[in-house]
Amino acid sequence: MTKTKYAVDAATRRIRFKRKLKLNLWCWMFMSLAVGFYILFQGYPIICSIQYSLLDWSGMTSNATFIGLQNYKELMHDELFWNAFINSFKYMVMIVPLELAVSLFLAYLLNDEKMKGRGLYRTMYFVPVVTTASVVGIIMIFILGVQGPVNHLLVTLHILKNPINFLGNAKYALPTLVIISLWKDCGTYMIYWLAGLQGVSKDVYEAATIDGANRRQTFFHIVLPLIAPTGGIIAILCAINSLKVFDIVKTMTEGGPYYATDVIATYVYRTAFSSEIGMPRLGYASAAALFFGGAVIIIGILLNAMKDRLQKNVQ
Amino acid sequence: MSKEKKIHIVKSVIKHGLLLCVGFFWIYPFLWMISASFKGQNEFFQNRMGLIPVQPTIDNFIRIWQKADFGTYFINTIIVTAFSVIIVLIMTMMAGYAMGRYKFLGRNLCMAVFLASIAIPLVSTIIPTYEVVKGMNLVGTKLGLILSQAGGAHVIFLLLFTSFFQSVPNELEEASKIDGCNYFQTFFYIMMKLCKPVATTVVIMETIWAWNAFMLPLVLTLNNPSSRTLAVGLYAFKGENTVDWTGIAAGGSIAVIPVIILFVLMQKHFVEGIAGAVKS
Amino acid sequence: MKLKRLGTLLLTAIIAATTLAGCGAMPSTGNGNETGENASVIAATEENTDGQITLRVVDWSDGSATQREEFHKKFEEAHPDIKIEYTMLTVDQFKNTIVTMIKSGEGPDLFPIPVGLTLNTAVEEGWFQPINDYVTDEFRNKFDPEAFAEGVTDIGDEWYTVTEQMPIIQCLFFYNKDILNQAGVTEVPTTYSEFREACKKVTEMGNGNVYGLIDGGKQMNRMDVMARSLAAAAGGKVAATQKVLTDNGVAPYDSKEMNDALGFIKGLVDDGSIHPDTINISAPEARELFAQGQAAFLCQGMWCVSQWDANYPDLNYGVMAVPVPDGVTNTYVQAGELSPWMGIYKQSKHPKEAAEYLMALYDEQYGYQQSNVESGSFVSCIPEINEKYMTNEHMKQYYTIAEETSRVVPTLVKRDEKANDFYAEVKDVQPSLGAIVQGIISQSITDYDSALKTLANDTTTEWKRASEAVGMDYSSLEFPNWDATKDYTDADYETLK
Repeated sequence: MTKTKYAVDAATRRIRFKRKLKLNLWCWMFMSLAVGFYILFQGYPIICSIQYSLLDWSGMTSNATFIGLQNYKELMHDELFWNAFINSFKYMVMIVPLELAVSLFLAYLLNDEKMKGRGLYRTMYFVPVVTTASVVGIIMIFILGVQGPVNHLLVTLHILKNPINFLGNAKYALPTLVIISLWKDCGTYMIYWLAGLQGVSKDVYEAATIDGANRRQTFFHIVLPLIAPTGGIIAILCAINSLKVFDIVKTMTEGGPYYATDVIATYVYRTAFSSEIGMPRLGYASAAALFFGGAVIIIGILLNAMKDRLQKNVQ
Repeated sequence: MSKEKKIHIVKSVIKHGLLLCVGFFWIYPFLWMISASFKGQNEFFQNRMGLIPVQPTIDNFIRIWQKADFGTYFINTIIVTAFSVIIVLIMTMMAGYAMGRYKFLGRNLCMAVFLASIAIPLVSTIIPTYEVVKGMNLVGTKLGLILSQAGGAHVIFLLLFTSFFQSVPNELEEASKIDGCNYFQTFFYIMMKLCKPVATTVVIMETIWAWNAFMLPLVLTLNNPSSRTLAVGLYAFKGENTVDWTGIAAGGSIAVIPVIILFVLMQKHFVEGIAGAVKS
Repeated sequence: MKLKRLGTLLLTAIIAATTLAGCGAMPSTGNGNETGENASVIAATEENTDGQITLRVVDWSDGSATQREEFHKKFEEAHPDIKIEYTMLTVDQFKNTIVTMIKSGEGPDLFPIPVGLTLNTAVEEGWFQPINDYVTDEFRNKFDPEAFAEGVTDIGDEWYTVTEQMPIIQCLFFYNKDILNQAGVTEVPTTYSEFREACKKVTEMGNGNVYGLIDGGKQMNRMDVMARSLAAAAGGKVAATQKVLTDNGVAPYDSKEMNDALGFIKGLVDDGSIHPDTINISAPEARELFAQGQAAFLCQGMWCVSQWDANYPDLNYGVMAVPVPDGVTNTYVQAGELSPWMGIYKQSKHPKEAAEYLMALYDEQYGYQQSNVESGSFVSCIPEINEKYMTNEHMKQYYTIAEETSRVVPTLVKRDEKANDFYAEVKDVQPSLGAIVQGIISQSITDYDSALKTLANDTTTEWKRASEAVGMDYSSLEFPNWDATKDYTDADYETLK
């Protein structure tokens, strides 16, 4: 009796093990391509970055000295690094809620099956994504300049007494950049949301309509909870992308006026490739980038831990 | 006509009116770019906000056409973009499927590494990427270009696929397994059909990325101009001390058209409730 | 997703990654031999079936891009066996991309030395090869003798790079004659107060459409050049931009003259005389807006002339000296310094053809030099070309004023051979001078003298550190026998020894 039981146990265990092995093999086969590309084109560069960050190296000559954590130590006292660090987070805090809300609103509106001309609208709101950045740079200066139409409008409407130099004033430059990025990237997130919204089955909308819910109610009570998981991913992407913002800042202000819009990416770029006297500092710039990345990861982990604890407390 | 219907009509007129109005301002810079590509350098600054060129000219297009070896570059760009999109699509879809549906050994580690690495702003991907491509002996070839483009920012797409596959109900898969499908067949027959919306997103975003990439293709093709892409050919308009604005505008207008056409075609796949339709 | 567990896993991953980092990821030290093989593979593929050779040229000489294109056409016609692949980048892009290729043995055949690197360092790195063997003797003799300098074009007897143009100062003031007339300014201002007065009148007259001064305030390096020129014109001993000199043992950033110069800029800001877009734009946009009649003055270099002549033939403008503080006379700005330009890549497979290209660039027959001189892009290094073709009035005016109001300042590289190491070692101190000027213009800093003081102190410390690190005497930065009203000559270097 016991013997047979043991034998059956062993057999099931063997089968289970086999099944597990099979599953793992299959999964890793599915992963192999992505992991391979990742190691070559993302992992390796990151490892290189880590290594550069321990060097006193201009990136231009072969003359690199290993200096341990010296770069990181120097970073701690670098006021401009901290300025960029804080600006990056300020920028993120301003843009993430705006970007997510506006793009989700657009996506939901333009996901309506009965909506006429939605293809046209989708294209219209997507167009800024593909508009060339340097062209955006100059037209925005025309539009937002002191003599530009925005100021003209605001002054005529008596909202402003005197025109504001939106991009040239340290106080307004960062919020102005936020608005410009919102305009430029909204289409991207609209696409992500649209993809997420496709996961909501048609029956859900039909059921809601039968229950007499209007589109807004359907959205908040039914659709939003359903797309929350994808929403989380999109929010993380949005937050991380905004912390790494580069193109729009580089073309609009180059981090100015007087470092008011200097974010990590522009700080790092300047340190790594531009120099006034002597040579740039690729090693130091790598350290700045990695330190920032590390800080973001730690903040992410902490926030997540806090969220878990809060959820537990609520329960 | 009933009152409700009237209200409905008024509402939709307002909605469309607003959408069009805001939409116009939304695409104004784009229209301006198109218009600027027909302006002369002088008019570019004189007629600052105007959308209609006073003295339209096609000189800008002729100029950039001559500068960039257009025919070759255009074909190269299409090849490089198409193949890198295909590679990215296949690899992120497969990996996303595995990560979204199964708890295999090392899954969490992969996820952690992927998530962590997108948080790090990279200073110079050029040096290591160049080393890698050189190590494969592919510098100056289209294949090298394709691989390096595909190796770019695909983690984002991977995460999108992962979260999508996570949300697909289990019954579907079990049904297919009962029918005798192995993992690959399940993936191929069921999941690939379901994930169209995410795939569409990936195609659009990766196309934009590969189409406009400049630095990496430049380095990888400096020795072999015959495999250059359009962006490399078109970018030389912003120099150290001078800027050819109208050239940039013309180049931008040309480069953007294929992407917009692709978008118009692709966005049709975002159809409300398609996932549900397939399910039933 | 269980992010909590991910956290620990992440840590493991990072540790693993760091351990891995030890192997294989060293910055590529592509010195000649090891990469030679690869280069030859490339060379083999790049020869077409009909034996045509591709010569790859990369630089950032965008000011003469059109002339260059024409030159390439002519060159290819004359050399049917050579195809030119010309790539124009910005300096930052060059550093970001091409440097990687140069180091791994696959650089272009001809390229310039990027800002920040001295010729000696570049040669030590194995970037360039001497061109003596590939060019004819007449070629060198055509040049102005002043177009050569040790450590810039030559190292000992070996000739490495040619200069693109004769050095000339990068910052004079252009003024719009029509606007000054309209505003009732009859005389071209020479002093700070005259300049401010003129700007005020223009701004008042302009009523929000025309302003006194415009410039590319987004570019810190342009602001740096302007501040240095103003300070030198005020009588200060300041090195040219990107160079290092001390005055009385310290970095001369909080000197009285520098304070005066920034005070002058601050005054213009307070008067509201600076075009409000200044802070948002780069030099090219500023040049366009000046030509559109939006400002009376612009502080830029000679390259503007050819651009305006081509796009704005009706623009009625003149060139004037850098304004000086009231009552100051007999002061001079820093004369332009000779800078290296193109050389032949050490691992180039076609050095002969590359030299051919270089020679053609300076050959009257190909017309590159004269078309640039005629259009006012630059002053050629070939004296006879200048004599024949310098016909552009604005250019002549710029050239004359530049010659009259500038004096040669001493350079470290000429004095001390450790200077190359010093320049490779020294790091930028920030906020830099250019940034401080930007801060003044955007009204982000009001207290610029304390900013200057910090800059001067930090810079002095950094220069001391750097000179010590490379074993150079810090006092080499000081030239005690330098008289800023006179050209610093070779004899002066001699007396220092």
